[in-house]
Amino acid sequence: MLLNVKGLSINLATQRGTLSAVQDVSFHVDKGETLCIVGESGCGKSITALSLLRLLPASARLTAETISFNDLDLLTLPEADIRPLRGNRLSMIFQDPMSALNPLHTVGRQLTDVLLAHQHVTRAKAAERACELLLKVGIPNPEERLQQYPHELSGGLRQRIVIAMALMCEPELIIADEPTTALDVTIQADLLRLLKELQQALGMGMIFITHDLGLVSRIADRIVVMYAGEVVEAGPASAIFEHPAHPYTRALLGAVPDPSHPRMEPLESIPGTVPSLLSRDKTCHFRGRCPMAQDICNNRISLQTVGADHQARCIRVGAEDSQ
Amino acid sequence: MTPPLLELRDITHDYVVRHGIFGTRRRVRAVDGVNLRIGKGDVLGIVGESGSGKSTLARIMLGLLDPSEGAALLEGKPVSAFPRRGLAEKVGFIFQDPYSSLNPRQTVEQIIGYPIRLRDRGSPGSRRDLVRQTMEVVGLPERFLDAYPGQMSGGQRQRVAIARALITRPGLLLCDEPTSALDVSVQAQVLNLLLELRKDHELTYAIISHNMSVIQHMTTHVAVMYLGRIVEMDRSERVFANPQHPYTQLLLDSMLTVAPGKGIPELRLDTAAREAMRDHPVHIVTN
Amino acid sequence: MTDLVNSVNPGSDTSPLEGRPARWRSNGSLLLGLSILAIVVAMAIFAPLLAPYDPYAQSLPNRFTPPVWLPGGGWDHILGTDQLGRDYLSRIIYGSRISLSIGIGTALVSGLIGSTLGICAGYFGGRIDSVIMFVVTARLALPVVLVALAIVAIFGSSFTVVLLTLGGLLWERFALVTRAATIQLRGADFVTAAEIQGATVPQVMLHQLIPNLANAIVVVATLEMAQAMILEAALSFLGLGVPAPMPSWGLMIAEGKAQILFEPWLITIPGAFLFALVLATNLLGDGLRDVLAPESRN
Repeated sequence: MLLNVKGLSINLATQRGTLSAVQDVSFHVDKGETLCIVGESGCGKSITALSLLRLLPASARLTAETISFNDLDLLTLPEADIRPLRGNRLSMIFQDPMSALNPLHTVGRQLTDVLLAHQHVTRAKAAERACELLLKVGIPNPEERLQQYPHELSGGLRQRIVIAMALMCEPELIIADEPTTALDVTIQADLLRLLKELQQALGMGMIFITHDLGLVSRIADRIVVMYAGEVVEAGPASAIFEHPAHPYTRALLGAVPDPSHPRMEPLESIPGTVPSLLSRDKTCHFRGRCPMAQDICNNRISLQTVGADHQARCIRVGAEDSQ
Repeated sequence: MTPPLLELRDITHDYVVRHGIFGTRRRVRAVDGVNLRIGKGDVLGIVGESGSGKSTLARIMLGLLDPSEGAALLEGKPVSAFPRRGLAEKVGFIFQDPYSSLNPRQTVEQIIGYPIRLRDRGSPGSRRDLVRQTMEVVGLPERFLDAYPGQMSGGQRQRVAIARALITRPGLLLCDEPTSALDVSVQAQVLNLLLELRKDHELTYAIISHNMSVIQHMTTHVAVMYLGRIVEMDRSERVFANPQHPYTQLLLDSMLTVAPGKGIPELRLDTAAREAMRDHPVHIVTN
Repeated sequence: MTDLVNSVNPGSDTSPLEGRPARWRSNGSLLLGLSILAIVVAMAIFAPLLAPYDPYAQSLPNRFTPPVWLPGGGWDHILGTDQLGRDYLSRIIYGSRISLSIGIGTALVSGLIGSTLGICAGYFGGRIDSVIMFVVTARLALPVVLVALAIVAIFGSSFTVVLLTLGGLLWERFALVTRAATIQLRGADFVTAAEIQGATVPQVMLHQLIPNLANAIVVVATLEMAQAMILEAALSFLGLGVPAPMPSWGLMIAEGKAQILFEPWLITIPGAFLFALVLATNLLGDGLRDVLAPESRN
């Protein structure tokens, strides 16, 4: 197991009290595997990813049973030992490439700096590697690009460079937070394909965070669906797409406009809004929006086993099978 | 024959770009000889990559921008001949970002009622009634009347924006990426609302989007833009079933529909492919 | 449709207003500034009730009575009397009226000038912006005190002249802040939406821009108020502020300076009040900025 997270909870201190952003989240990623964390805004998917690199805001309080990366215990590792991991063995790609690039330095300088910071190589060797990687992420004439500044490049090119930067040190795990949502569809598909190919070639683990279910269906090996800070369903991609067990997962699938859906007919929408994370009551969090809610849903429920390696946080999981 | 609701005739628009303060001026062609018609009751989808001229086209349709060449006609009359307020009563606009399109210091009532307040129509009481009615149309409960945008979710805000666009009863609604800033479940709510409004109020839409699934679901006609030109235009079902232009084909190939295990399609995006797309004859069917 | 209507509930947990009381309460500098200012405002409003004597009534036999805590002082004149035997406490109390009205008046005049210029520069941009920014730069090159001195010397010293002079000089911060904020708002979709609906330029400014600038303007106004009160005292000290015998704190310091070695309290008492008032106003400004416009902190 490359990464193993168990019982992760994150509380944020706000002016209006403690906000429970993530509650008892567990997942794991194996070598060469893609885990997709799916959910809508505010479900806690991004903050979960940040917590793995220990990049949480100061107001956040993290508790967990285990967060282990290979043989390292990320939970207790001192900050000084975490820093050399970032960008080296653990890399992250953000949605906005501009925020990941320094506008004052050339692309080449930034790419080589990453390698120089973590490995003992000469600048010439690092530049060579940068060229090689730019070719790999589909940038022709890399020597020219290395001399350019981020603002001289298009959004698609910038994101390619950020991906190349994340790959400079051949990380074991790559965390991608909606890396393609800001891009044109053709470029998005191209970049995703590239990322997937590189991942397979290098045998990296990948955590991919997104709300786009179409995308998830194409790249995920396993899926974690989050809602209101909790995992509501987790399992192999095939199982979740074939037999979605949680009503929220099902509703999300029904809400995506898809060629299989009759044109101009209403899509399935999820009524209502996400409950406040400030005051959590002891009920199923989805109860208020669930079409199948019953009295029994007023009780907290743990993840129920649906099938092999497939769980869902719904009381009806067992009941439906028996019908 | 009655004229189409909106017609663009040979629209070309250049922007002047200056390099540095004293640099040379250069003209950049954003829109290049665009012709299109939107008939009453149609839903026209306009798709294309960023920088393909979609937004420029929208600004021209709204009368915010005078094209360098060509004419935009609304009900057979040049858009530029309409007074600003008169035009706004015929063409409504929905912005992409419901966080930036609502004034954070105004209440929902003030925001939705602003267009009629500008026109000094009716008494405050009758205006309030009209705001209430419009809120009901877009499915906003009355208790939001005095709420501020900051107190609402993205979907609720987009409903406020739609109500504001509808209060003057325009026949044509121009939507620029109406759901791309919203979550999937909220997107479904807003798309359903738009479809329902179209049926109940006989609205015509022009929807600009880069989301091909949304376009396929929502539109009767599609115009595909590439490098400032319309390279393909036809009825939606024909475009999606049988694309004629290589760029349309590329857009369809890059759609990531829910298809577990299918993987990411391989696309040809190299220079040769781009040149082929640029030089390929356009395919335009108008009806 | 009905399921939608029934299901949406006000997302009250996202209200920015809800956080306000907590922020107000937890901001120490804001509370301190507000309390001191409240005391001074009360002094100014209720001066006729609070002052034990007429601030202009002279009594030469009682010149230079020291305040109560010094030897020779007494409860008749708690803060003593000045070189003309006028009750110092009464003059201090009435003096607060001058400082406050100069402060508020100047902030109003300079706020009006500066905000108008700033909003126009930010909204229209281009050549208008260049011209206005040139005026701002030119204004920044002027030494405020010297120009104020010159103007007062030409037009004679009076309360109105001082107020208008300071108001005419201290507007550049209003202009810069509102210009920067307007440029940001200018591109917001809600401004475009109003323009599409056919709102005229004044309507866009009045309905869409100014309500969003109000917080920033209030913050700058408090800071300019403090600045104006100090400058008024300085001008009065130099004999070119409000004319004697008005009980301006700056004038009181000037009148006491002849006795600085023998009766230092003549200077320290009005000095302390001036210090407290300016400090309070600045604290209020800082606190308001944190509460109302945290984005403008630098």
